[in-house]
Amino acid sequence: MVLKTVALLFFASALMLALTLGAWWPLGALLFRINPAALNSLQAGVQRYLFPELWDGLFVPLLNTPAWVLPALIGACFLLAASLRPGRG
Amino acid sequence: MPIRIPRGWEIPESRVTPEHLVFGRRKAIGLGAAIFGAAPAALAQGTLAPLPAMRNTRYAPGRDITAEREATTFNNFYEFGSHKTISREAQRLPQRPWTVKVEGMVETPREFGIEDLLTTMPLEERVYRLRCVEAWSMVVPWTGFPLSALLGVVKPLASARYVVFETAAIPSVMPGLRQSWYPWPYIEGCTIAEAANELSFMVVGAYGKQLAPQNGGPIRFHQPWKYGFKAGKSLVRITLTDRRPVSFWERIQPQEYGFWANVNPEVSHPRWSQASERVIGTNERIPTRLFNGYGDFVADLYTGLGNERLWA
Repeated sequence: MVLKTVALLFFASALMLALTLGAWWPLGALLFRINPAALNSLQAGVQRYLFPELWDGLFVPLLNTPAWVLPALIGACFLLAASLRPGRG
Repeated sequence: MPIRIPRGWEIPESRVTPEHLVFGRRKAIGLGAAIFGAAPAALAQGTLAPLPAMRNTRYAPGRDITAEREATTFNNFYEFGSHKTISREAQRLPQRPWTVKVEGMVETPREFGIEDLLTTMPLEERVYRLRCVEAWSMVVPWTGFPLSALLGVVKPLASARYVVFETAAIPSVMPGLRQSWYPWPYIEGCTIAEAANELSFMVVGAYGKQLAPQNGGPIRFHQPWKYGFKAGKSLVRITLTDRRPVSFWERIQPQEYGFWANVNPEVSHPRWSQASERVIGTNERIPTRLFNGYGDFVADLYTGLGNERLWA
């Protein structure tokens, strides 16, 4: 029940983001609006101390996905976990 | 007995370039103009056309020139990434054709082709110290012309108070632009008084060649008393305005990067000290100087501006 509730919360968040920001507003733009310095520091950290390709190949595509996709995916994971959990009855 | 203290720009007579070499260089400049037509082919092959110009010794750097290889492979150019090894990626930036619009509060707005600038502007070589806000530095022999010479052509109106520099934004070759949340294009600016200062330099070459794309080719700006991020690279537009611009970095991290950004070793960056700098090439750590050592030329610009955040 808890897992399903958490999943529902994430789905609600996804819906709220899509309705308030628009269906195509990128996750990166949302994070940049919340805290521009943090996203910039993350980029510098990944590109300078890990691999530049990691930023361009993984982080940029992820951050360019619509903002609602990430909470929707997390919600789906919780829903999947709930469905795989054995019933108590 | 009178004591004579030499000015910062003075050098001994023994170090003055002999006359025959000077005029030999002028011939070479003429030769350079003749080969501009070959420049696109050279660039396409990944080599840079020669751009000889006579060195102006008024701006002696007092330090060794950074090796060309270091200066062309350790670069900040955010449109290509936030790391230093963007030189290979930057080769995709087409250098020809290239134009720069100069517009806004001017009598005669113009769009200059880069070849026009190379042939009509008074080219000279200046060896400037470059101090990055990240606490490293280089010494680079730039070729270019004073910004005042360019502004003299378009004639700023009396109402113009700021000069805004805009970098090219070409998504097909600049992977950084895929980060759509950043406020592209890269904008920087200075006051009209700073622009008129003799040190303000439009750079079209380095190390006797046309400017490499990773260094901001084919044309960039440089004010050596300010941190390097103030110098817009690969410029496509210069606008004169009466409104103070909000630059790229001011929009991203206003608490760390401001409008003035004059070098000052006593004012730390929020995350590191600015008291010293790492010299690229030797890794030697040396003390940073106020206005990057150019105080004799620029300190007067800031009298009466005590309320401004001049050092970040």
